[in-house]
This record gives sequence, C-alpha cells and structure tokens, in this order.
Amino acid sequence: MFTLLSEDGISFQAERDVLERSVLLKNMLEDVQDSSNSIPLPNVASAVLEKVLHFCEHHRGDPLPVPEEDETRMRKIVIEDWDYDFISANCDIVFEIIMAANYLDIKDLLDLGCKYVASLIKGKSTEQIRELFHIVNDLTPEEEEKIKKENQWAEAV
Amino acid sequence: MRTRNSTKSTNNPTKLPHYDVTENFVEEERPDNSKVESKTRRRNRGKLEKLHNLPLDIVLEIYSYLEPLDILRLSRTSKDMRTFLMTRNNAIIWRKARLNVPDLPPLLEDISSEPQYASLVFESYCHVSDQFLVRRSKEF
Repeated sequence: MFTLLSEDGISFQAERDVLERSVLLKNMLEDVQDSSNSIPLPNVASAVLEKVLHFCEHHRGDPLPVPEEDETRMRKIVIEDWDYDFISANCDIVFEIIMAANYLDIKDLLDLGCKYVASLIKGKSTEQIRELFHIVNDLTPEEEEKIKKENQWAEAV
Repeated sequence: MRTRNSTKSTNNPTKLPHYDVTENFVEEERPDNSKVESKTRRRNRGKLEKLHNLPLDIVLEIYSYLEPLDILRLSRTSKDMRTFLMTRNNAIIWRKARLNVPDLPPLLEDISSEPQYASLVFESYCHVSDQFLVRRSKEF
C-alpha cells in the first residue's frame, strides 16, 4: 500500500497496480518496495484525486494504452459505457481531471477527458458552441455574414 | 373526410370553441417547453468556459476529435476564436479535422486554405461554388 497526499493535505491509500496506471507514479515507485512516506501531489486537489483513483481502480489490470505512433489516423469518439458514466457524472470537474491525468501521465484518462469534451462540441451550431464556452458574441450580424464568406487564412489578405 | 372538415369549419359553430381549447392547450404547453429548453441551456451555459485555460497541446488534442464543420463553426463564434483558428500556424487543427472524415477528396492546390476547403466541402454556399467554378475554369 502506498499513500498519496493531495494538494489540500488529504491522504489516499492505494495499491501499486492501481497507481501504476499513472506513468509518473510508476516511475516514482520503481525503486520503492513499500513506503511509509506519503507521496505528495501538489498539483492535484483531493476531490479530483479521489476520482482519478476511482478510474485507476476500475481499470487496474487492463493493458496500458500504447502511445500513438500514427498521427495521421482517423480519430473517432468512442467511449465505453463505464467510462462515459464516470466522466459525465464528473463533468463539472472534467478540466481538473484532464489536468491531473496530464500531470500524472494517465493516457487513457486523458484521452477519455478529451473525447468527452470533444463530444460536447461536435455537431453543435455556432450559437450552441458560444453557450458552451460562455463566449460573448462580439461579431455584428454583418460581420457574421461576412466571415461566413471569407475562408482565407487571416494573414493572407 | 376532407369535404366534411371544410364544411364544418365554415358552418359548424362548435368548431370555434373547440379551436380555442386547442389553442389554450398549446399556450399552456409552451411555457413548459421553454422551461425545459432554458434548463438545458442553463446546464450547458459556460460548461466549457475553462477549456481555453488548458495548455495548448491539450486544446489541440480535444480539437483533434472534431470534424472540419465543427472547426468552421468554432471559428465563427467570436473574434478571438476566429483569430486563433484562422492563422496558418494552426492549420494543423484543420488538417487533423479533415483526417476524421473518411474518403474526402484531397486538398486542391488552387484552393488556397484549409478553412476554404472545409467550407467548400461541408457547406453549400453558392458564392463559394461560384468562386470555385471560376477558379477551376481558369485552369482550363
């Protein structure tokens, strides 16, 4: 058992195979047999760490995702049921989860967060996207009409 | 059926109150519908507000799942988004989006930009087609 210490000083206990979903922690634990010292994670709040560990526990034993070599492959948003339920239940902290997954280097969780956010944008109208991002439309109706017709790179006028 | 209806609507006096009832019913329903709609809207409002606080590589990762039409719509949401997406430096976003749609015709050299390509292939504005035709015909 290992102990993790969140940013706000809450400790969490987890087993090695759970923590090894994180490449960062896997590397840190490589030379450690068992630790009485807790591992501080100064970038992850307890509310987020709890969810991250929940995800890692569910996926313990799964083969670790391999890094992508082919950057030109088609990307589809396919999310497994459990993962979808997990991420949509935590949608209010999805960006915190993404940041934690990025910091801890948990590829499948990072991918899940990105896919979920992309799924919210995909197929939405311009107005719906504005609502999602809370973007104030600073374009006049005339400008909006105009940019629909202008599809050149901005600098190539 | 058709004849009976048409005679009713002109001659039968009971038609009017009946019509009123449906109208009232519709009116009663309308606030409910708008409530549901505004609830969803409220739920979605600002949901992704923090997206652009993320590091750029993660934002690009998220966009890499989208399709050209999504990027085109994103680019039209505000001046900032337009500036961000319409620079040649961010052509990678458009290129990746294009990869997500199978069997697309390749980018033509005489169509000078990715956004133009996206608009041409995924939107059907006449002016674009006109422009395209003119440009194409110049080649011949």
